[in-house]
Amino acid sequence: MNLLKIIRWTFNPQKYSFITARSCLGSIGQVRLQTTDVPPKEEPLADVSTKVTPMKKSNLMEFFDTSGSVHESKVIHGRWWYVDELRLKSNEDLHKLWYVLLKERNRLLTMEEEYRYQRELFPNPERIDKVEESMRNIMSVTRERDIAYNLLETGKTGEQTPEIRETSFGLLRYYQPKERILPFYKNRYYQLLWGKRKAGSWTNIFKRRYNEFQEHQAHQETNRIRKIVVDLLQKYPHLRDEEERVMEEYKKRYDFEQFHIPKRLARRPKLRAHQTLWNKDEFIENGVFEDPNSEDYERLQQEKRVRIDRKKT
Amino acid sequence: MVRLTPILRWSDYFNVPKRYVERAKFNGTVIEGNMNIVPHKTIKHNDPWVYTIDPPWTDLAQRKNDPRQGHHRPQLIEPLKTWDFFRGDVVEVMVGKDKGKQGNIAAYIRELNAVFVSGLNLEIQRVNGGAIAATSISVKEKPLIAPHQVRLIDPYDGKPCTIEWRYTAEGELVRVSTRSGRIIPKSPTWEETSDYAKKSTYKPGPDDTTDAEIKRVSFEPKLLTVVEELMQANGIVETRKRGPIIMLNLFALKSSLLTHTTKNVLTSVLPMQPIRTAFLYESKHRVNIMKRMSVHGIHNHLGRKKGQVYLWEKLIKGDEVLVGQ
Repeated sequence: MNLLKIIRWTFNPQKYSFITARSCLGSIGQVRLQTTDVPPKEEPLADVSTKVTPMKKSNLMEFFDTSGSVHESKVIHGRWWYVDELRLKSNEDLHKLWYVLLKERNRLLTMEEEYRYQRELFPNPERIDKVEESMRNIMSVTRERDIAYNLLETGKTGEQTPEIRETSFGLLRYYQPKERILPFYKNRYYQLLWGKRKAGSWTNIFKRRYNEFQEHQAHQETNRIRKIVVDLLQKYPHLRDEEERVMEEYKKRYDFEQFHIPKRLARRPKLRAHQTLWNKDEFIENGVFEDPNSEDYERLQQEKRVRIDRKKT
Repeated sequence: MVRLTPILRWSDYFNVPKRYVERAKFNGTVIEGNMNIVPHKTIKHNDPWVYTIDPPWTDLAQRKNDPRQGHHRPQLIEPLKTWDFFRGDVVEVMVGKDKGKQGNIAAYIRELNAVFVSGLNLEIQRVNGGAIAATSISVKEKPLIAPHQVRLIDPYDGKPCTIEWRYTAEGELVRVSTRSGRIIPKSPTWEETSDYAKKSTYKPGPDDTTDAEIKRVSFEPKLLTVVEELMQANGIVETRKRGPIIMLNLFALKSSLLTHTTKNVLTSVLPMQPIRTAFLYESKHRVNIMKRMSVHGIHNHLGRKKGQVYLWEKLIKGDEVLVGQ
């Protein structure tokens, strides 16, 4: 389910054709903040470019960061918003924060390009990644809330995750469920693609051989890693007891596409942040989803372990 | 992706997001450039990143990992379970010229299991060799491989020891030496990064939010989806009725239950699309082909019944269409 699309639909363009930073923060009420403790990021800049009266509809200077000089080697900035902090906020605040972050991201990307054009070094390029991480965290929080609502009202999450299906040639293909106007019995296009065709018995020979080929590929891959691990064990003989762990670590490091991936699988729908596959049972148990791709995964796992051990003692 | 790093110490940047580090590493294809005389050849570079002493966003590291340099032998790095060394810890060197001497950790590189001790295990090089008057000496610390060549010091003895991570009574994870059972504390410089020396003394910039602002709770749980709540807050009212939602999954082939599960989520939100633009997966090209087919009567081979008019024909002609029930 494409949440971002939905948010765009509801954001009334006639009412909010311009998005100044001040209007974004209407309910929070604070634009300029005093300096205290460790902070995370993201409120608007003290720019000339943002001090615009709301009547001006288009101001392209908001894309540029005029607060500092060009030759600064370092810009002071904080960390990204953690998920736990975002869960405290209401949906309106998250909605506004999203646009603040979006503007900031656009600003940083234009500045990166501008520095490149002027042949200077862009200071602190990790700011972009921090902003993107905060945006991803907002997406996960909104997703959690929607899934919770759906699980309460209907017994299912309202999500459509891509699935693998067998086509008429016996090969596998990714299928992303989309919304259609025509139901199955009227949808001739869909029926021709997916409905009435079934892989016949003539595909069995091919399937068998292709399976053999794929297993051979996988075997070659593990062999390659095994050779490296053998060298490693020669160097560090005390690791012989922990061979499995070492194999897993090295598989992670060599986790890239060595072999050719066929187009029909390479054309998989690229899972974005809001489309990562969540486990429903896990969500019901914990109330919270642990995303292994997020930056804070290790830190959160550590905290969880500490909490569990404290409960035991 | 070069940036200014006045202190080329990787451990100073440990609070940088990992995606940034991975973005800096080369990952993909390279096209040969030859001024268009010979057709370009794409080289797909599949070797893992070879880690160097310089961080991956620096020029030297990227030059080493250029695909045109050729394939490197795999780096044999021992995967450790825990990382025990932090900045400022007192440590003894077990190997080399400075064997038995103790010093502070200046920096470390986790990807290489390397530790740099300040003042020990030095490499003295002559720089700008040639004229004797112009030579200068550069003194650098060589890296030491972590669990073997370097040992943390027991505060009880003052001698090297092995370590375990254990929980205290309060629930903190702490380094404990196996021999005496004493806790080895982290020195106050352990959390120093390029941004700040200590978290408590960090002076935020103009864009940062305050602590009070972060901890302010504004969430009130309501029985609405996120989108419905936002619509209420912004005063957007949707009076149009939504038609039935049809998601063609394998489940839908047997029953239409799926249409009802997504109803609550999408009913009041997605606006009713006008029928013409709702012909989702037919591009303009296909519509022209279908027009041609209707003219030449090719559709008859697909098995048209008497008097049957297809939906797309109606759409092309511009007739009114009722969709769903």
